[in-house]
Amino acid sequence: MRYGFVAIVIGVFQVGLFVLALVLDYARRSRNRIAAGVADDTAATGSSRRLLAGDLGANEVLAALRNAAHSDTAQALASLGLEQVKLTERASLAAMLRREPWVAQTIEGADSRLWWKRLAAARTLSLVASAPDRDTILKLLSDSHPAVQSAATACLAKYADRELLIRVIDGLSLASPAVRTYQLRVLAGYAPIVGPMLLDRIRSDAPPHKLYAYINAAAQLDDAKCMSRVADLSTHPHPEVRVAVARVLRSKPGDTVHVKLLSMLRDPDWRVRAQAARGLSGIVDERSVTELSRALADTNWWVRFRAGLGLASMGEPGRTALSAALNHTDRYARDMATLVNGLSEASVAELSAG
Amino acid sequence: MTIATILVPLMMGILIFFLVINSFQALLLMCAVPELWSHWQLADDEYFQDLIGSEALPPISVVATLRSLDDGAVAFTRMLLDLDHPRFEVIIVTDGASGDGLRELGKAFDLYEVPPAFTVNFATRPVRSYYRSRAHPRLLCIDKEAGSLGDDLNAAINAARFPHIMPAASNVIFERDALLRLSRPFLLDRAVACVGGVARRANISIADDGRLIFGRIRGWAVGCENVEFLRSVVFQRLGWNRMASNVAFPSGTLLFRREDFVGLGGFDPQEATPGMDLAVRIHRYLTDIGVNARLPVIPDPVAWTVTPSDLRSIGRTRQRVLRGLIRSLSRNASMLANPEYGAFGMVAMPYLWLGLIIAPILEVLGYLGLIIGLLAGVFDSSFTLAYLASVVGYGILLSVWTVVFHAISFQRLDRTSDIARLMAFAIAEAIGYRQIVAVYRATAYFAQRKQGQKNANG
Repeated sequence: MRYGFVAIVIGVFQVGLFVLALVLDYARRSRNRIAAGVADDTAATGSSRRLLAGDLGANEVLAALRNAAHSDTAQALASLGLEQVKLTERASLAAMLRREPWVAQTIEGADSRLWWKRLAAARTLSLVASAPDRDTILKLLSDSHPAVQSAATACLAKYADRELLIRVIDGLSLASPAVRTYQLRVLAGYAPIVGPMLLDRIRSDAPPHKLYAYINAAAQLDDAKCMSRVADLSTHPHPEVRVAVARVLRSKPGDTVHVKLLSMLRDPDWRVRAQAARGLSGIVDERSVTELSRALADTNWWVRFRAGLGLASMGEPGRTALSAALNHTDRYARDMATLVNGLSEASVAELSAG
Repeated sequence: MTIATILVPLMMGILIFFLVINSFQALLLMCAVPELWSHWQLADDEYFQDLIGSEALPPISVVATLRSLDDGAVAFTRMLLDLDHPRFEVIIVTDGASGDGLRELGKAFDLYEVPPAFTVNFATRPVRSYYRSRAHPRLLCIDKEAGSLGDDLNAAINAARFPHIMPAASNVIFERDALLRLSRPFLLDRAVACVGGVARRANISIADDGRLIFGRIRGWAVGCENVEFLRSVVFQRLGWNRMASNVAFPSGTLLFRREDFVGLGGFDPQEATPGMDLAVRIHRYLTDIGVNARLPVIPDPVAWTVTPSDLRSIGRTRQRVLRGLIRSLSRNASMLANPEYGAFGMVAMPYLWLGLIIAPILEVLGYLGLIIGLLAGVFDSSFTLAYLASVVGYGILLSVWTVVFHAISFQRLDRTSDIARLMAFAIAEAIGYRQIVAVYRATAYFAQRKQGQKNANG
């Protein structure tokens, strides 16, 4: 027994590993069950099959869901059922589902410490949310886990009000890239309400990181007033903001934008100049050609590169300017003109897009 | 002084050492389970599935060198160009060491020379020419003077234009969605600096239509190596995720931010295993500039590589990797047990020194000591049993659990016979194979010391 401690240490870890193997097996089986659940359940019950075929009313869908063997399967079927049921009956089906015990139980998971339970609550709410769920959605929108945040954002398609939308707008700057992309997409669906809210926030005295997010939101919304306010930020003291302005302006061509981009091509920050050069690509105008030709001799490689590609995208006037730049007095401008002149049309298109 | 007075405390120390090291490995294996759970929950999330392929994905420059690729330059390049991702480019470097690679690429992709107008962030051996492709605008080829692997990759990254970089080793076969999977952590968390994907080991080939064909594992050494790889790379790396301390990424499946890479000065051209060295330096660099970033490894099989088929090749590979690790850790020795570097300095660094560098030496020493002790009658059967349980038996159990976890998690083993074979390899790995590899690894340590002394003496 002198070496009993060896057996004890090894034994303790074996028990731990055994328990975790069981947990892992349970998790894997439950994942497989959810994946296969819809198909199995459909095969097992005629009503589920009809649900998927889209020829059931709200009451019949509910009956089919009650027959589902597993709450996760029911959740997956509920999602399908809401898509398949007649348009006029969707609201009543969502209301009926909200009263189902398994739905209520899943939504209670919004207060759980386990993020996947909060995710299940947010997913379920995205199917059945209504006014009484407002506080729960507000809480889930500020969740620490990005998956929960994005599922909570999906709830806005079911129920949205001013405060919920404000929460999303104000949280944009802190959201992960995936969540922010999704939230911008959802906000675009509420453009008439969100536009004025954004306009209030796009001010030069707003914190730069927030302003950066608002500028991207304005571009996604394609709101003329917001974009006009964004263009006014082209001389903002913070370079990150000016970079964002130059980036979004390039997708909104117009006379005012053209003038702004031309002035941004002389910005002290090279990132702004590079974005401005990119924005001027394709705007065939004498001023663009002149300014981009000048930018070929910029001190920064990226600005020269973008200017060269910009000229190459302008058709004949741009190509002529590029050919002329082959004899430029600046060695770097000559090199860049040679590089871009040597590119195939497909390469120019690929590099300009990237 | 008798032999017992030396052997008994020494062997007792080695017994406790391996008990602690193996228990820590068991802990890492346990930590892999919540990682897998989290990963599955996200993989099933329909909203994130929707975002895969969206404009939120970071654009990526895939950089590769044709060195150590005798033939198949065209197939390798085509595989990289066929990866699924909305915005990426492929930069291939040839440095003369790769035979006719450039000529083959020129024919297959209709290359044409472009002027050398690229930024140079890192000094490299001179570049002879840059080529673009008329057939694939995403492709850029660089022909340069022969240098090291790190030198080639630095030249490629000089010409890269996207903010994220993935070096691709030429002996790795990538899944088509590798870039999408590796990008996912960047989409979820702004604090991610670098993502590692494990290049799994398999008996693999590519069909004419581009599908991957998986054959059965053949050979004792290959089987044992695969089990060891599953245990120490696939599952332990997931465990390290929980401790935010991932370090030794296998080459070819690393996605990192270009700005960090430029900040830390690029790959070390003298380093034979630049990927692993880079991971240690990224930890150091980010901590030094006050950035609290994560370097997660994803569990998905994003790439595949063929296991060397004979013990000699496996041993040499281990020696090369271990020498690289010793060099890298020695250069960053100030991080060891340094609380400024958080879990990496306090947990990962001591483990890497003890578990990967010191352990093989102690293991070889322990076997010798046990034989001498038994012959001299110093050890009784209870000590021998306890020693073997701690060093060999514990290792077998960990390998067996790894196979169990693997069979449950990834479900790539369709047949019971496949699982049984892996179980047999798990046992064989601890009895015979591991000891041979330990000798290779122990000699790597001494070879590195000798090299270090030689360098010090000029």
